Amino acid sequence: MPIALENVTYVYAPDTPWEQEALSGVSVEVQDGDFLGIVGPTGSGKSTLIQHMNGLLLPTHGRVLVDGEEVGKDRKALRALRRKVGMVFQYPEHQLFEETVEADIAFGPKNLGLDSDEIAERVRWAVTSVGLPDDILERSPFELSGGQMRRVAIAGVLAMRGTVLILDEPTSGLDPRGRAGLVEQLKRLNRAGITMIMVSHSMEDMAQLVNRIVVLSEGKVVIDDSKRAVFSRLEDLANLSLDVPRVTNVMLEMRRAGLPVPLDVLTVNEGIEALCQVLRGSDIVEE
Amino acid sequence: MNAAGPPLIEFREAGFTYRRGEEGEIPAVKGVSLCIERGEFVAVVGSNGSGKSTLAKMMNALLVPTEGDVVVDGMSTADEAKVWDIRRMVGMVFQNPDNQLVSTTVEEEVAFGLENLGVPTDEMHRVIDRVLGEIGLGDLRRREPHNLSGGQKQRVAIAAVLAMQPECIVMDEATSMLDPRGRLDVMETVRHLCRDRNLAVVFITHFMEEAVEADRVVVFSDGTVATDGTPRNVFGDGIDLDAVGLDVPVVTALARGLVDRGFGLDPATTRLDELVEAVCQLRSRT
Repeated sequence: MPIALENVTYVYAPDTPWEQEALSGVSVEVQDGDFLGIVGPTGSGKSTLIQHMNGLLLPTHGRVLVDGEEVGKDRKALRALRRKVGMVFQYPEHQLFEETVEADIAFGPKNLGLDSDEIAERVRWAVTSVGLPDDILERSPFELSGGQMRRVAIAGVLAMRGTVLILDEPTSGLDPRGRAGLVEQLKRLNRAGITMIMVSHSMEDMAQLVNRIVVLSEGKVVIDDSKRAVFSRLEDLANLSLDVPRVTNVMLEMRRAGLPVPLDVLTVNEGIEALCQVLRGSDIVEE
Repeated sequence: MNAAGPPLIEFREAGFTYRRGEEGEIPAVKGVSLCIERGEFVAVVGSNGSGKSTLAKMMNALLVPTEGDVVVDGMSTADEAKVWDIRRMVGMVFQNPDNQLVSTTVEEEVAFGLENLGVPTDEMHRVIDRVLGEIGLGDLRRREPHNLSGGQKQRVAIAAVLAMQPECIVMDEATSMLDPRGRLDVMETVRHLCRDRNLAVVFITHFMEEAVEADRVVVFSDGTVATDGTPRNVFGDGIDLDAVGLDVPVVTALARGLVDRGFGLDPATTRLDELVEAVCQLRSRT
């Protein structure tokens, strides 16, 4: 179910003193199976952009096509769209409210009017998909760790059986173990065929998860390229006060100290390889 | 660091159990002995649920130990008559910038604690000017706190604590909800407080890259101190960080990787400038 934003402009509070253009002529395409990352400074329009992808916001100008259909033409189709394109907001665990994990995950499917067997099956599938054990279903969501609560909240969106999942800062506030666990599950969901779109300030998340990155600044797309290509544009990213992955930053400092290391290094293992080459390479030259 | 007198904060086999004596009681902090000295920059790291936030709240009598004692500058946090002295001396900045600001302008936020202390108006204005200037918020003094960025909000919270002339600021995951820019600004402020003001800072975080900047790192796991030492000791090889749910800093991971490949450098390297220098030296030596 491809998603295409065509020349989308969105204006908050039009014709008032607070009028503000949050997106200006944005075009972005998401193909089936993509894992798209969206980055940009605070206030660059990231949240506004993702809310166009499941019809929570409709463009002021331009159009959004999901599976070839223009979003918003048929108001009744919006509900179906929001089912297919799931949205996990920032700190989704703040929205947990039921007495048990099971009831929380079942909340959405129940509202769809599904029969109880189907609901039970979806709940079990969703909880497994986020890597939680079955026996957690009986527990209260409020006695779980932060990482577990986050996963329960994501399971609730998955239980709607959408084909696209949008995540806003999914690892924010998690400790290293909780983050690593969630990153693995997100990778797995994407491999299982769910199209993923992720907004994050964490360039570590981007380095590990996405295949393509869209960089937003002041409501415009300023870069749209493969992850590796984006992270090699260090100057552009710095000008937007965006980070690069920590290991990429190490390579940049090595380069500044005169070492001929590559800059498109995204993982610790690649970093070790690159440094070994520089050190061994110099052996050969000197000997 | 001033070694004279008692430690600024001393945990004497202190513990805290939530719902103590009730069904489902949770021992969050267990028999901890720990000292924080004046002027020290201490990072406390640990996974979610390790008890580190409970530990933080025990430092200024927000929680009173259910076992043992916590003593701040000679005053027991269990002594109700001393609670306000203790809280003035040890200020707290919390995780969520939106949950701790109460006023309609930045300067009122800073004035809030001073007003409660009954500080005369003239004196109050002097303190506000000084503190806002120091934290670099002078231009924002008439702004509404809720319209500021996350990093600015946290700095307002720091300024409000600073106005009380504390000896120590405890920051409980104060950077975890901030964007990269905000995190850098808050870290810069913390460095200033430690180096230029000789304030003790207890910095609770799970960003290892922040922890390596401290003088001392306390690793907290399952309610107890798993290890306590310099960043080099702790991240070098002092403890199996993976076992307590933490990452090794990237710089240390790279150094270890190079050591494994037979290169002669210190596997306990924690700082980026040290790693760059070590690699440059290795290269020129060959």
